[in-house]
Amino acid sequence: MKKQLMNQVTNSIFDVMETMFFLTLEEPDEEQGSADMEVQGLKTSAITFSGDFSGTIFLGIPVSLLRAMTESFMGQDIETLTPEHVDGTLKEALNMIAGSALTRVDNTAYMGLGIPEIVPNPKPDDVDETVLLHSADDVMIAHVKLN
Amino acid sequence: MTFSILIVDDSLPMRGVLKKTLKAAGYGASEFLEAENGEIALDVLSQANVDIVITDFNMPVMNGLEMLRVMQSRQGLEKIPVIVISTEGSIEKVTQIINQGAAGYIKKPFSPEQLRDLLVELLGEPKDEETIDEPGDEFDF
Repeated sequence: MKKQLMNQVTNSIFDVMETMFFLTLEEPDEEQGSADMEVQGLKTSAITFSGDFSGTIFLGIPVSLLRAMTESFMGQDIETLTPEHVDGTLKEALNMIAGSALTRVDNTAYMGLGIPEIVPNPKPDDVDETVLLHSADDVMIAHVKLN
Repeated sequence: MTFSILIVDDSLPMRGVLKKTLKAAGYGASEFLEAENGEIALDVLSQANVDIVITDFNMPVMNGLEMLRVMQSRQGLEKIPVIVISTEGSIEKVTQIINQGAAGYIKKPFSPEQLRDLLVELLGEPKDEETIDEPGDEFDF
């Protein structure tokens, strides 16, 4: 289930980034290890889910990329963006990714989604699965943890 | 014809995106009202004439479904069309939303065209100089 959910989170990241942020990502590298989790300058959001199975999905995006995504998302000049705009964009992206991924895993199951929060980057031992996704100049990271 | 559109979402960027999308869809002359959750939206609805509500599902304090239930039980509010835009995509949730009286449902992530098509169906074509007439013209999200 962990791998299945991670795969669907990955597919949903591609979908959300392309549809809502016009951001093209490269296919993930199969050979990534936990050392790759040490990506610097990330802002991370987490969302919990509960139902037939429960856990947490994390999404970490470098602040510079996040600001560019927020500018594109809102159509607002980057100089006028506030932390609320930037944090809100990350949380909204994760909200869409989580909802989409859980529906892809099982669209007949009840799955309650929590409210996304900004959290510290999780340690490798605190998560079950991790994927790194590269854009042209940046990398974003997603984790899945089942309870 | 211009409209009064209430956008209900706890996400500030999402409210901004919806306004941007609505303007690009030709509804730029409309009056845009905003609320962070269902409870605040009901306050707005008690004070303003609103033509349509576009709401998120998953919000703190009062979610979109609870707001829809209250609207259905209040005279004057029960006829206002409500579009639910949500990440909630399970068959059970969508059925629940429609059964509760939502006029339409759009799953996130969505394309601007999906929102525009549903608005045209519910409100009619916008009479706005920003309206996109040519099939080749695209929304700029």
